[in-house]
Amino acid sequence: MNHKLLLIVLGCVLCGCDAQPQAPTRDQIEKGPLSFVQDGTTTREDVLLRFGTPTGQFEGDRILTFRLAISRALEVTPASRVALTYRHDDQGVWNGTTHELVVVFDGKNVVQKHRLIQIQDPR
Amino acid sequence: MDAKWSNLIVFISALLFASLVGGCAHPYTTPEVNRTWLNFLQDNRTTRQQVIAKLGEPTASFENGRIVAYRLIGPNAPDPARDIYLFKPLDGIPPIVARAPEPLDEVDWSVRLEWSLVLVYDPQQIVTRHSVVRRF
Repeated sequence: MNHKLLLIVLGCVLCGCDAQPQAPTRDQIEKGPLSFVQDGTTTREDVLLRFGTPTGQFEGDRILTFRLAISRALEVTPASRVALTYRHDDQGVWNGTTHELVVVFDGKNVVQKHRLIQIQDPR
Repeated sequence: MDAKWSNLIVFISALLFASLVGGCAHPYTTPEVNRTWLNFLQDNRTTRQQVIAKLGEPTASFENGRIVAYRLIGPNAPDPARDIYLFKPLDGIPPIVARAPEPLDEVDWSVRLEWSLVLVYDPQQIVTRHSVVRRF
């Protein structure tokens, strides 16, 4: 009986390692971890406190971009601005990035519009 | 099932469990960063001057300096006894605040851990909000 139980536990553990949830849709991401980004409401301060230093900055700080790794479990990790290898190859910077979030702010430092662009499938 | 197989299954189960639990362990968590490197930071108390004295010039600035950000770099082998090191700008890369063992050549940057520290100041130059964000 104990052996059977152990085999079941072992099987569950092995199967669990292989099971992978579906890749999240843009809608799931927008309504999940990015739900705090609301056009006309969210401030630059809120976005920066959540994602840290942006990976890109245009027109002063009117447009900010954030490279993100969004997992299948909808966990969001912002990317570093430099490559992991600490070299200047831009290729390394994009490693692991699944999405890029582009945020445009108005004159009152509030999100005017934003767009999530998928770079590659989540892991 | 004989004892040999039983022992083998127990061994494999234990090994898998240990690797799963071990895999969850993080060498340096965000709460630890707050507790060790950034324990001087208190919302509505810490001044910009105190922050600059500790961390130097920020990596990025927004809204005319009202919001600033620092890159915090930590190697995978933290040593709480060491001080924070300030890195000068290198070939256009912004300054980095790092904690690293000496000599710095020994730092394996490929396994480094990185966070972004964001600080929001009020008109009296006091920190009103801050966050530490783990990056990859």
